[in-house]
Amino acid sequence: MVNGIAKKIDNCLYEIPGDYKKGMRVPARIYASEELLNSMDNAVFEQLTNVAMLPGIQSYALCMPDGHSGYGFPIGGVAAIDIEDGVISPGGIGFDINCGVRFFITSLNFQELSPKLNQIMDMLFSRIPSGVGGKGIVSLNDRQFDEAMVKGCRWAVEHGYGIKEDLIFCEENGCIANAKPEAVSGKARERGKEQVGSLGSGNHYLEFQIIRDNDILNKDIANRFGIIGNNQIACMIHCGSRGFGHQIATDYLDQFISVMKQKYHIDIPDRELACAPFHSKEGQAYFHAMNCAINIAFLNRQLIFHIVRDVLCQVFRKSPEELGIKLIYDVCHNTAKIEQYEINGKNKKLLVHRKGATRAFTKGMQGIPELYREIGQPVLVGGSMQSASYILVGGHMAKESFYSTVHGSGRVMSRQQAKKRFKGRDLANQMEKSGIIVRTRSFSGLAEEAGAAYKDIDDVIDAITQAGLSIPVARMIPIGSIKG
Amino acid sequence: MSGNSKEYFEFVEDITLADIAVHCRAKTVEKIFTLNAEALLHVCLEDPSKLDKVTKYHILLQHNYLDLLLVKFLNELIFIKDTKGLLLYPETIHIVYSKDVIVCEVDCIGDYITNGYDINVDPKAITMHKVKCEKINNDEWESFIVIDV
Repeated sequence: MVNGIAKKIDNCLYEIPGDYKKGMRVPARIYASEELLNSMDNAVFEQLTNVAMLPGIQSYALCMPDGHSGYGFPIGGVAAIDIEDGVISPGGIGFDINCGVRFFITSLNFQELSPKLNQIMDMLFSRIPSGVGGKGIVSLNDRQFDEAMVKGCRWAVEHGYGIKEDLIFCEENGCIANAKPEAVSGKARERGKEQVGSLGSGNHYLEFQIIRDNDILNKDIANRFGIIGNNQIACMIHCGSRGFGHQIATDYLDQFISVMKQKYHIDIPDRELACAPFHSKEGQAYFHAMNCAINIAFLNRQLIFHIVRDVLCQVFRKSPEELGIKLIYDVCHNTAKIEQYEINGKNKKLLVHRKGATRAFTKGMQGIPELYREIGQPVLVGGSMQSASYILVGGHMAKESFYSTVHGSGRVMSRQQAKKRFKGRDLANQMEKSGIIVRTRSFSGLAEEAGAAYKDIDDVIDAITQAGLSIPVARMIPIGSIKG
Repeated sequence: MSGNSKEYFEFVEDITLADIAVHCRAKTVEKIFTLNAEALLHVCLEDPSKLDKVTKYHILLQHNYLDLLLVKFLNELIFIKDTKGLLLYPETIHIVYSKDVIVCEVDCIGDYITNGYDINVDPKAITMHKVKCEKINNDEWESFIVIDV
């Protein structure tokens, strides 16, 4: 037993039994090394065992090794819920619906980019809105915003903010079905339409990275993605649906609280886990609105990517093809998606809630680009701004976690603790000395994101590899970071 | 901690690592609402005392439950930040209990974010996690909220 709660059942896998707490419908499972498990705050176990109480939950409530306490679900939480007799819970997705990561590579190497990196960072910092509030790259009228909610990245491509090939390399091709704007409130529209194409703040970033030869961890798969090492330049964009998604979650949480107990007789200990039956009027409305936010987040990352591509072409006076710019993938890590699974010999449609967890479909599965069909979808894992990031593919045990894996490092220090311990300006200087150029709207915000406030990303990746959920492909080192 | 010894807000460290938990104590429910709004400003701005009080804004809200009214009020401040670009401090608050609902009427004052303030982080929403707003004895109120950032 670890922490007096969790029992080791396999390498990097621990279980809290289903009778640990009254009301749990399934056991809770945590993927972690013993060290990572011990570093998790107790609120993680409390929150995860609450998740295990959700009606319709199948097999286990899961937590990934980057798990840390949030609200309702822990960050890194996964719950697969039968849509026939189960619920949908906005707290299992998070306020930042379809927060996710987009990653592209270039044929440039560090020696070629380095002399121009400061200029590029300045241009991007001025062209990509970031920080508190902030207007977006585009300003949409009501009709355009409705279209964008349904079309996601397709809207961008149709309006000159991308090329058709961009759509191929996005989860859901950058456009999820069942998005119905009529389920979105006036407040969400008002809050969202001015922010499309903006980075936001907190842990959101745009980061230039290098891929060194010795950081290629699986040469065969890396090469198939076009990753060759040799100090190759890549770029990662991490952001979500901005105020639009936040408002949708806010609106529906309030609605769900008012009906959960009185109308649907569901009793859950934490109101942040407010939920409604998936097929109920309220459940369906939230599902349709959430899908609109998923599409707006895809569009958001597409617009930012388009600007980065444009700036690189402008600075190097070359075309995207000449610069070898290739979108590897765009993944979501805050969603609930319908996926088909066999549970106890029965085929079931499950709504897989992933909050701070990445889908990791493996080779041969439908729903991933043809080019990746023989290797599996790329999984993009952002480290802290001072540490490496990773690209992975799903491992042989991926099915056990409903094809879910980590999304980042995971915090070990609260924002307040980090702010007390680090000074933003000192941190920026320290990062510059270690070879990472920083642009930020907020130095105190930067302090909250200090590398030491996060778990060691290498430990997290090691745990998920040992558990068989993922195979590491390459490791990327930051050289330039724009923080909101 | 901010405020005098009897009336204050504090950021609580051991509730959530990813977000920001706020605990308040005050003599009146109106002061609880004010302190929570002040805490929210501390999340947004490096130095909220520098916020100019030049633009007025009126808020009128209602809810069946007091704790959820507090959440609604703070979410409204976040909504105004995102849509109008205004950061606001409540000048006067009236909370009235009518038959089935609790009504909150607030006169706020503040300034536009774009007017050169040192910003901190962008709050996304007030969560329902462990939310609390209640009278704990004759002249003491207490609240607890978690801000998603």
